[in-house]
Amino acid sequence: MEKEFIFPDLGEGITEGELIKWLVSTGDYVNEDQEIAEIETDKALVSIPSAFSGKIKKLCYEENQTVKVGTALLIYETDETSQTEDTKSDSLKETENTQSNREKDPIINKKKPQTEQSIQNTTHLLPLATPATRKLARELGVDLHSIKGSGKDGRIIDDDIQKAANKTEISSEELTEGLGSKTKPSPSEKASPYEAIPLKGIRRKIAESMQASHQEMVMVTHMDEARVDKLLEIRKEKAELAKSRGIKLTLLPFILKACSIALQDHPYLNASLQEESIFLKKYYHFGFAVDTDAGLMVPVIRDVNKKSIFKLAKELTELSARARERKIDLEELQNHTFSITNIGSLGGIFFTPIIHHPDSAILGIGRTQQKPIVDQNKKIVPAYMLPLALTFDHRIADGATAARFVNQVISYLEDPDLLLLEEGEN
Amino acid sequence: MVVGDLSESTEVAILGGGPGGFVAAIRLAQLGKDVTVISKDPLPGGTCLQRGCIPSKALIEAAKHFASIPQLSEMGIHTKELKIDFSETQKWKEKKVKQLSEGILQLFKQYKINFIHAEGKFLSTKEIEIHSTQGLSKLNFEHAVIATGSQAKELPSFPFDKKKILSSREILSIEKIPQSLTIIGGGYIGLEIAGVFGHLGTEVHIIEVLPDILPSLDKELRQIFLRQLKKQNISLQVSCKPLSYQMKQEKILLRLQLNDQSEQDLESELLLVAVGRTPVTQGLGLENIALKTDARGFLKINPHCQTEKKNIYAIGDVAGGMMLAHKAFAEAKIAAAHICGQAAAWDQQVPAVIFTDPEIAYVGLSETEAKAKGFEVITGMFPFAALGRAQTMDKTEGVIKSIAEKNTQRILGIQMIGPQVSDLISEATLAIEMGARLEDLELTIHPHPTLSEAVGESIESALGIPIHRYQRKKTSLTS
Ligand SMILES: Cc1cc2nc3c(=O)[nH]c(=O)nc-3n(C[C@H](O)[C@H](O)[C@H](O)COP(=O)(O)OP(=O)(O)OC[C@H]3O[C@@H](n4cnc5c(N)ncnc54)[C@H](O)[C@@H]3O)c2cc1C
Repeated sequence: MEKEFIFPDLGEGITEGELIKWLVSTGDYVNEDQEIAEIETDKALVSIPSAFSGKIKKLCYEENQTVKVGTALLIYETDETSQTEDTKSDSLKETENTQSNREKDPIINKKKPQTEQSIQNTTHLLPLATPATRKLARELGVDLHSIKGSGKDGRIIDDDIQKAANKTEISSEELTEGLGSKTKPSPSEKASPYEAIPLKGIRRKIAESMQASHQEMVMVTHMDEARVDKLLEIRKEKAELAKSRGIKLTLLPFILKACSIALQDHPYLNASLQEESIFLKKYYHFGFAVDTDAGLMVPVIRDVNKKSIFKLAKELTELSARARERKIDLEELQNHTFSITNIGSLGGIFFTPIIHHPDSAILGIGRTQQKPIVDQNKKIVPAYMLPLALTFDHRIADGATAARFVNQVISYLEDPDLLLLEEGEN
Repeated sequence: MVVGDLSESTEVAILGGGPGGFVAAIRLAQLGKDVTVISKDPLPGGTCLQRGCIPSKALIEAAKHFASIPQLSEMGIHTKELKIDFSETQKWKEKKVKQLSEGILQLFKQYKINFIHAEGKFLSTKEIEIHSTQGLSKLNFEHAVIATGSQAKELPSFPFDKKKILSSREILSIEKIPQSLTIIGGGYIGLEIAGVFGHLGTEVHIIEVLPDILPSLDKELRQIFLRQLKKQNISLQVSCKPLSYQMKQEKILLRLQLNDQSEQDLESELLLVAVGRTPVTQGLGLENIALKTDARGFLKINPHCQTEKKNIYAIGDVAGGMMLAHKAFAEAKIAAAHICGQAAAWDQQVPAVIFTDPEIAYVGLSETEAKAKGFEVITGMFPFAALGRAQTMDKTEGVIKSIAEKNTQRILGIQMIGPQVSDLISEATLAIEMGARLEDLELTIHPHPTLSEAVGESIESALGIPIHRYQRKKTSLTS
């Protein structure tokens, strides 16, 4: 007997994923719960455990292909093979029968989409979508049989079509045939002068989120510098202590802390604008940008205002490691109120970060370097300067707010003792 | 446009002015195209309007009224003398047909659609030759739509003589009600015409080669229909093959072969051959555009109604499928939209309607079909007899049956037999197009007292909870 292993619904509206790696191959005997494949979804890299034991007869996808939820990922074989052949030919006969019956009725016949063969599951014979949605699918060149709707029983709604249309790479030729060609050159051609990388996974998420911020918000970036000689000293002093606790101390946890305190005085920078209301958030969950092989990820540290510098440092290290390994949970990427992005380790001074949708501000940190400055005594002295670039949504906050907020953050970074004094919720 | 020697041109040329042709023409004009309709018939409307749907429905209506009069006595309505002047009935019918045809012509004028009474033939994929009473001319086109429809199929051993051996076309125009009528073919056209003359007192015999009629209908409904045929003095012989005929004075004597191979004679005044319809493609010049028909003579089209020649479309009966006017309408709109660059394609359900008495209508899958496709189904059935409105109309024969997929409760099909189900079927069609579940219809209020309540009740019956009928709890629902 054959048994299909269906790529399961992973929840969170995930409808497909990219097959990164097979952990098994044809002919292998697999135990229940044994991991069989690594699949990258919009959100994370997941290992898929087998739902049952058996010998693998066929892998239905190749690595790097997109796997749709609800389709067979691989086929197992159980022992009674001889019997299989019989039942199979019988059921084949049956389909042939209905096929030829259909031919009697060319209308039913012709509306049968080419893809139907791949969808033997009878429940999906007629796509579950209203006529207007079906029309939208035609207009956007989406094959209804190739997508799983987000509604009950897989009902396809307009949104699903829109999403699928955004994802469709080069599959719409057929439908648009004769409608004035939208011909895209085929990327599979040999010696192609370019390479087409389908927009998917994390890259697509980044694209969507950046686009949303860019389209919705009115972003302005305010820039300033903090003199962090003192802070660097403290860090140096405490580095050993931190190390003994297994913590790598950087400037970042101090900046996080400083922001969490200053934000309490500037609630409009810890806010979002949704449906004609500004939501001022009374919790301080900071996203921080991590550069991973797959692209930018923004894990979130919760309740920054309530955590110690050491604790923050520890979480920063852990979360970024997990983000890089793609072992992060979806929840750990959600529910941020403010974000910090640090490109200092790579260089650069000021830049204009894009707000992490739907927050109202993001703080960009450049590289700390020694610079000649004029001190109180009107002397030119070397000082460690930390560049700060705060992008804020001008719909929600004004330039003065931003400047005041940055000033406050600077005051904490320049005089870290204040951090101690102001620590805690006010 | 003037028909002359000059070669004229049009953006879209349409061959045939029937349901396919005239609807495509209007839609194309609405979308801004310059359209020319070439019609072998002097008036638009095609088979449907000139000699099909409309004339048959007119006669069915008249006959139904006639037959209902004696039944009205129970309501206290008595008439002394019941009489029908069939030639008057025919005149009334002709008047209706004329009105409707002129209505289409008027629309053509308003939409500035050129209408040419002529026969068209393709010379190439860009040019049509036009034969009219005024001679020959040529018409250049960018796109063409073939909507030449169908004609009654002739049986070689029973060639139409238009006097005794008739097609539906002739029988719909006869001036005198025959005493007896034999119909070869138990398809919907045969059954509808049997109903007309059955009501008018003719002795009607239907001969069907196959072992059963109405194959798309579930058994329960078919049985109700067969009972009604008997009541209307219409005999039905299935598995019966007509072999030959002989003229015997004014009568036609038919030799039949029954299922057990025995032979039998049947005498009647008229013989109607209604064994299906063949597509009209002869003389169209298909050879000049290298278009082939399938084995049964239909033109092959893709979901956009395009033939293999991308600028030439085919719609309606000539393209096969369910040979019904509303299927032609739907294809006409798809072709028109696609010609104008819209992403139109066929993906709809065609409801079938048969205007017998009682009427039959169905859409989607029957229970048998659904099971054959591997669906696990639940069904519900509701009889019109339990409905207030049906009782007050004295039209209590029939049922509505709903078929849904068990797990999702999605409605797969609805079948109806009963009064005015031709109108009730649209709710079912909408339900299926919308992918409705049983509850969607159950929670839709059906006005009281109307026949439409039977739709709601049959849905509730599938859910195990009809109001006007006792239904034991279904185990399938609780499991
Ligand atoms: C008795 C009867 C009852 C029916 N009742 C119903 C009903 O109740 N409901 C329903 O939906 N359907 C009914 N039908 C079916 C319906 O009439 C057809 O499905 C419908 O007319 C098909 O439309 P069409 O445009 O494809 O073709 P047609 O209506 O057949 O029109 C084709 C037109 O093209 C013309 N033509 C052919 N060749 C050429 C040429 N070379 N050049 C120019 N013109 C040409 C023909 O003369 C005709 O006018 C009935 C049919 C019959 C016979």
